[in-house]
Amino acid sequence: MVKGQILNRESFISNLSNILGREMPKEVVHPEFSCKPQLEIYKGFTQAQLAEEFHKNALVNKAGSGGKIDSLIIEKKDLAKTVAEKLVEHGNGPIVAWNDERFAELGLSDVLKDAYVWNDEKGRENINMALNAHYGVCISDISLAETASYTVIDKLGKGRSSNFLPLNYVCIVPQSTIVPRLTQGMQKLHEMSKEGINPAAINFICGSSSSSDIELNKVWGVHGPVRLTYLVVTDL
Amino acid sequence: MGIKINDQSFKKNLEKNLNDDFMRAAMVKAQDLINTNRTNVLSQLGDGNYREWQKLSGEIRAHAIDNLDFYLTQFSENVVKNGGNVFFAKDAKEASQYITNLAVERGVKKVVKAKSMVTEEIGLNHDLIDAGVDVKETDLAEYILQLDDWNPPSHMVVPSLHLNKTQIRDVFAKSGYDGKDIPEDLAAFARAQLRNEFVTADMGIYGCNFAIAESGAITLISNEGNIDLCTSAPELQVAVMGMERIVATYEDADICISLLARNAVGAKSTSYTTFVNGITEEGAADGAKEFHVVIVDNGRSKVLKSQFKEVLQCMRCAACLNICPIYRQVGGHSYNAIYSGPLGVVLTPLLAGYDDFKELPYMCSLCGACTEVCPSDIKLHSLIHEHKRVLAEEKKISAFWGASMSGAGMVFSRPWMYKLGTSVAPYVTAPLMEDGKIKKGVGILKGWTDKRDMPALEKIRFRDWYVSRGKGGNK
Repeated sequence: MVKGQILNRESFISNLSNILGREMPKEVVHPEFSCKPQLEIYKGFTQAQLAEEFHKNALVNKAGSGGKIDSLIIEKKDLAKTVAEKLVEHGNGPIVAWNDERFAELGLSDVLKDAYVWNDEKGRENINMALNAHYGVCISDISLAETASYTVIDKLGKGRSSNFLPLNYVCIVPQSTIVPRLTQGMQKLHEMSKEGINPAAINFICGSSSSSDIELNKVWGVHGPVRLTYLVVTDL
Repeated sequence: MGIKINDQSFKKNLEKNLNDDFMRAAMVKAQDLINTNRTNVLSQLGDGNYREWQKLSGEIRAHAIDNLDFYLTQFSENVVKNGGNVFFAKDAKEASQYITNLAVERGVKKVVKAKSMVTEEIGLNHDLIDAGVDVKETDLAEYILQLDDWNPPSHMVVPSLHLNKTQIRDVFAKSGYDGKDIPEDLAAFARAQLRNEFVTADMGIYGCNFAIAESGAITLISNEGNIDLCTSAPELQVAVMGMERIVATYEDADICISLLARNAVGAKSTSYTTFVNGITEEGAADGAKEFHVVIVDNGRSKVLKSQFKEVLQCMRCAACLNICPIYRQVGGHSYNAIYSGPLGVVLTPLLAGYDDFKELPYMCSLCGACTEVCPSDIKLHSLIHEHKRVLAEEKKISAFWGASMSGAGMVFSRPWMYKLGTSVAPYVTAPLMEDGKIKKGVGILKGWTDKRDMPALEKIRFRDWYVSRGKGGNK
């Protein structure tokens, strides 16, 4: 394993500086651009309004998905029951879940008692479990109202393969995690980066896996999950 | 493969493609479908003022290009902080060799690869295969093209657009598919074939939509989820990027990502928008244990130095292909290069030289539709016009073209010659007529009349008719 190697940079960069007709600046002040239309979208919306917009846009995604995407708005008291229903909706089968204490806090321990919980110490075995999983379940870290996107931020216990290999997926979207759009998501990542926090992977996901590569016919579940259900929880 | 996709002449390519009825209908269908969706989704973006977003995106991309040296340096430092490695490659050969050597040195047997124009450009697949590595393209379209004996892509976003479902069924049949030509069944076959490849590959290779200088992140945008799988299981991962794919911050990337999905596929967002920041956390069961970014120049620095610098702002959304009236008629393979449409017309001669691509700038009517849609605010049609000027004035590439223009200039600037020419033209073209139309063109006219009739030239000149009309003649 090689780490921290940079090769050929000096000649490459000095060539660019020469072309740009100056020495490489020690610092570049990020300019104020001429407009900021992105800040106007859902400006001043409350969390409840954002949750409604998220759900509405998820239903737009659903309408175009031939039933492969679904979205429900629920309260925390109904979460365990709803998750249990969703985890058998498309037949019984193995479930893979993150090793995340939030599931217990949300009262899902019973529902997930038979699930395979990602365990990094078991190495590649986790990936095989995800490969054969009928269902995956996760909790969104940041949620985008405009596109109905949920976000998974990489961390031990939240194996990447468990997000993309299961056949069906259930995502819990706490209302408190919903922001207007990618703009605010990026602001959060910008702030994290300024503090030196750069998670190894950040995935914004807004639908099932799909492709239009065969005569532009939309097909679902090409590689990632075939079906996705959002559960927007209004009092979380 | 490299930039050039075959050794046939442009004329031969065109002849072949113009006779491919399925391909031509597919281009029309793709343009109409994607443009309808694009227009719809852009009208819902904020208050629908696309021009404002376009301008902002252009400013963001121009700022990054103007400070390319600084931001690439910052980016590379951050990749290293994230546990990765960076290789700066001056050309395709260096880039491909670095990745191939890496694969050989690490004993890689199998690579899963996500769609990436720059890996096509550097000819990576064949170098890996020559080194004994099993390469699996995982994007559905690229998988189809690989199984079809590395058929070249015809569109930047939908590379297999030129193949119909029956052809695809026949391609899959060679790999054991025995079903019908139903898209869902074909996709399910690809899913079944590739799932195990993702988790058993030794190496994942993917491109980069945007590289974020402030964090060292590689941004990847897709609908299928194959890129995310390439970033998940393989322990060795390589991201390949053209040096111009840089943006300063996550917040700058927001605007580019927001416009890329809308322009590329007519959707608010693709299903997956992913940021990869180097190696995975210590002890994690998946994610990259070793991570490399290869930053490719391959002629881009020459573009940076030129009057065509603006084209480096391109985000490869293919909106210009999807609106272009020429692309609609001729399809992607007619550009004879991996980059097609107006972007290809501008970029290909810059990266690969005029010698093999001097015809490209003439595959444009200068209608300006590409400029109107471009989310990076590139004045594409002006750059194409500049190519034409360079070819005519500096390269003097076509003696015929120069002589034609000189001849036209001479005729149009001498009234008596103009009058004589327009008077005799109907008689000169008479032998080419059939049923009152010019149908049997010769020379330059043949290209027109092979595909459609040309109206006959009137025996009464417009000027004469107009004068006589004023005097009570035939109205």
